[in-house]
Amino acid sequence: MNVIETHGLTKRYRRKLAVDNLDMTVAAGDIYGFVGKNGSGKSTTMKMVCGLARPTAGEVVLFGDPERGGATPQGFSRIGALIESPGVLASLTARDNLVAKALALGLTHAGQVADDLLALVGLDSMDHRRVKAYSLGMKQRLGLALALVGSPDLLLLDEPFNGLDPEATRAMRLALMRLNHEHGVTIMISSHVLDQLDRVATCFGVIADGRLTAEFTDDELHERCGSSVRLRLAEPERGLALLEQALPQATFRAEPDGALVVTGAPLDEVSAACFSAGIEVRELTQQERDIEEYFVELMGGADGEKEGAAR
Amino acid sequence: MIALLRSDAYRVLHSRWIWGVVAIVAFLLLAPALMMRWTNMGPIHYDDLTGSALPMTGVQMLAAAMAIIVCCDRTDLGFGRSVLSSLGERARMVWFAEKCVFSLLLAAVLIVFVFVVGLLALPVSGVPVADPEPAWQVAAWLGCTWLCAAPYVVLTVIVAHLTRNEGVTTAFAVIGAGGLLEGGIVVGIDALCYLAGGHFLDFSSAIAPWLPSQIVGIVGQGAAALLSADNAVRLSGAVRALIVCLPLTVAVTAADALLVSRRDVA
Repeated sequence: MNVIETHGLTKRYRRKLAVDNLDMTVAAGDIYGFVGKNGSGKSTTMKMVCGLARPTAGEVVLFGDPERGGATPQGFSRIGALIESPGVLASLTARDNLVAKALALGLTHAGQVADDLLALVGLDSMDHRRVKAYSLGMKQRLGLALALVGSPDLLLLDEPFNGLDPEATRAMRLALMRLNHEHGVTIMISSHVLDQLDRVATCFGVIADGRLTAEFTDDELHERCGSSVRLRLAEPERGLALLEQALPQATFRAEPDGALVVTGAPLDEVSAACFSAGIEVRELTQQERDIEEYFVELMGGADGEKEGAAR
Repeated sequence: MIALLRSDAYRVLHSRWIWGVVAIVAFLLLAPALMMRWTNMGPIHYDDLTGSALPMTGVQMLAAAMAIIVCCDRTDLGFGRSVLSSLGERARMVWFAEKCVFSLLLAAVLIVFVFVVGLLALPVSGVPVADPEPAWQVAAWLGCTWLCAAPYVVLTVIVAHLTRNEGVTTAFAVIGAGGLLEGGIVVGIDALCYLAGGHFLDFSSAIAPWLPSQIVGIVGQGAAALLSADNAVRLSGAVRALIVCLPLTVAVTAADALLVSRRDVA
C-alpha cells in the first residue's frame, strides 16, 4: 500500500510557484529521503501532505484513502510531523510539552506516554529545566518525541539532523531506524545532510524548482554511484553487444555524450574483454561517483532543463 | 474540544506567566487596601459592593492580553502547528474554535479571581460597605463584565490567527480593548456622513449606547446602573450587553473556526 500519493500537487504563493505538478509515491514501510536545494519546495510539499497548507491544485492521497485522508474515527491524523521548527513550548519542561500534546490528542495515561517517548529519544524525564534552556539538538529530539505522540503511522521530518552534533545525529538516526524496523512507521525525511540520509533512507525523491526530478531506491542509488568504468569505443553499438556477451554480470549505461559506463566489473576485466573481443577502445577510465555529487547534479538538473528549453 | 481544553489548561497552569498575572493582580488589589488601613486615608464607607469597591476596569484588556499569550505562535514556537498536524480536517476547525472558548473561559476565571481578591481586600482596607447588593445583582454584574470582555477576547484571538504576529495582535488588543478602535471607526463614519451632507456626530450619538466600550463604562458604575433602564434607549446595559456582545462573540468564534481554519497554518 502507498502511504503517500500525490497527483499533480501544486502550490502557488502569490507570484511564486513553490510546488509544480508533483507526483510522488511513498510506500508503506519506506524511509523516504526527500532531497532538494533551499527553496526547492520540500517543506511546502511536506506541509501539504500533513494538511498545514492547502494545495492550489492536485491532491494528496494518504493511506490509500482519498476521502478521509487516513484520519482515525476520533478525527486524529495518523501523521506526526516535525516541520521547520521543533514546535515546543519553550517555557515548559520537556515532559510537560509531551503531556500537553498527549492531552490534546485525548490520550489516556498522558504522563506514561510522555515518559516512554522521552526514553525513546534519549531525554531525561526527570530534567526539570525549561525547554528554552535546551540545546538545539535536545530541542530537535523533543520535536521528534512530540511528532511521535499518538503513535503515528507516518512521520514527516523536515531537516531533523540540523544542529545536531555527531553523537546526537547518530542517536537520531538509530531512533528513526528503530521506529521504522520495530514499529513499522513510514518516514519521510528532508535533509541536506546527505551522508546521514544515505545511511537511513530506503528510497529517495529529488525535487528541484518544485518539480520531482528523480525517484529511486537505495540499491539504484548505489548502483549509480559506486565504482564504474567509463569507456569510449570506435563502434559503440557493436562494442556494447560484444561486451554484454563477455561480461554478463556487469551492467551498462550509455551516457548522453556517447560514452559507455560499466558497473559490476573491474577495470582490468573490462580492458581484457575489449582486447579479446577485438574492440577498438579510444578512452578507458576508472571513475568513482560521489553520492553528494550525484544528488547535486540531480538537484541542478531542472535548471539545466529549463535553460535548455528556454534556448 | 474537551481534550483540547484540558491540554490548554495543563499548559497554562504549568507556565510561569499565569502565576505572574495572579501575583500582579493580587498585589494591585491588596496593596491599595493595605495602604488605606495603614494611612487611614480611604473613604469612610463604600455605597455598595459593585459600584466602587471592586475595580473591574481594565479587566477586559488583561483578558485580551492573556488571549495573546495563549494564541500567538511566537509564544509557543510552533506547538500549535505540531498539534494541528496531528489532527484531521474537522478536528482542525474544532482547534480554532477551542482557542476562542479557552480564552473566554480564562477571562471568566480572571474575572472571578479579581472579584474574590477584591472581596478579600475589603476587610483588609477596613472600609465598610454601606449597602451591599443582593447576590443575584452581583452575579448579573459579573456575568456582564465577562460578556463585555468576550468580544475583545475573541477578536484578539482571530487577529492572532489571521496575522500570526504578536506585535500586531498586541497593538490590536490594546487599541480594541481600550475602546479606541470603536471610537475611531465611529468618528470615521461620522466624518463620512458629514462629507455626504449629514450632521456630524448624528451617527455616533445613535450608535453610542450599543458600543461595547460604552457598556463597559456602565459596568464600571456598578450593578444598579447596569440593571437600570433609565436611559435614552430604555434598555438596561445588561440587556444591551446581551444583544450586542453575545452575538458578536458567537459570530467571531464561528468565523475563526469556519473561515480562518481554512487558511494555510504554516
